[in-house]
Amino acid sequence: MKQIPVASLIGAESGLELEAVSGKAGLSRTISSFDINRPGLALAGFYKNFADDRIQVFGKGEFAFIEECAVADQAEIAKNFFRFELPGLVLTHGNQPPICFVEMSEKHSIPILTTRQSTHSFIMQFTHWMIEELAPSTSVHGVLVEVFGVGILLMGQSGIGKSETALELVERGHRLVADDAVHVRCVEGSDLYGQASELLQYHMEIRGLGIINVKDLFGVGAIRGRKRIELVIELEEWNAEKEYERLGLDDELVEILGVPVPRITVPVRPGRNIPVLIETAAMNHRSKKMGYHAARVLSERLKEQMEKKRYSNH
Amino acid sequence: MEKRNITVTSREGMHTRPAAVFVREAAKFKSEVMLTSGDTTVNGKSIMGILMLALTSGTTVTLQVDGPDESSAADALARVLSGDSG
Repeated sequence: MKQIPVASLIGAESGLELEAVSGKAGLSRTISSFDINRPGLALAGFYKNFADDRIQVFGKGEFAFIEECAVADQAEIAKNFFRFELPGLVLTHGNQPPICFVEMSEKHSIPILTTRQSTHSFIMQFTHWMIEELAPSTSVHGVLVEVFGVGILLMGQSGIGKSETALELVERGHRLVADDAVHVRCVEGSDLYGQASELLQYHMEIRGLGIINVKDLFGVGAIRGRKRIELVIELEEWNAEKEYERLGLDDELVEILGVPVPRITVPVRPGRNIPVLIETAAMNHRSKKMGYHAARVLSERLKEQMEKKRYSNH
Repeated sequence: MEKRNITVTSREGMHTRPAAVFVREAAKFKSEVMLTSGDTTVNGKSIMGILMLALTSGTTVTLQVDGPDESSAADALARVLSGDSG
């Protein structure tokens, strides 16, 4: 399980508008769950099954409860509450923590954060952000393009012509997502999303030309920020010894981050128009998704004809 | 397979030009070259990959070379990373 440091929640990218109030020494504490906990019961003194590994959120209710307590009780509550190794505590609606909470937070190095956002909006954004951050990720050597709406990851050895193929596809009106280094994230265990690193976004390296900016040269219509990977196309040098797929009856699968993705191996040799093959593969993939599998339908028809023939022969 | 941990010592880190030098050097060899920094691994023959790592001076990377000429490749690439390739 990935561990996300609390400090990373504070950055602007998270959109959570958090500010650390106290216990900053504990910002290196980590979270490994996208769930939050509303510690109402804990504050009231009930600690059985207390979800102490989660971010604790004080909404209006929790805050009002603490405010209503006498100062001595507040101190007692804070003492009990901070006994746990909490990753952090968030107060919404811009509420500021009572002084005894600040003291305990400093003592145990458990950060207290505040946000101006409402509890509802904070929890929604936090969950969303954490699901993304906790998603298993890897970087893949390949080029990610969107062809007729299908996210295709072009793979193959260095120099086989992945980038050149992608360039031709862009020229034909398709889109580039990432060249050469694709950052892949597995969201919700079943979907793979690829994107370029922020630094390299929209850039490509074409041998002989160097680095080009596709967005500048071809316009915003030629690029896409991120895309679900639905198909892997492996380009490889034509090998006369190897048997290539001739029917396409069975789909070959490759696993990326444990998620199976259909893979097609396309042999490259002069005279084969690779971009057209990729466009066709994309359309064929869509057709299969819509329930029409050309190879299987033809195979069925063949079987029917043979069946008929057999009867007429008898 | 050759696996080495190397600290980038060229003063300005692996900015675009040194990255290109690295990739050009890597392309001279048959072996597969992988470079890892933190939890990101990239293909050492890909300029975009090396740039993505944005290696500053002082960063330690893991160089992994696998193939028929792995030891000479690892030597040459280690020299580029440490900035004494001349």
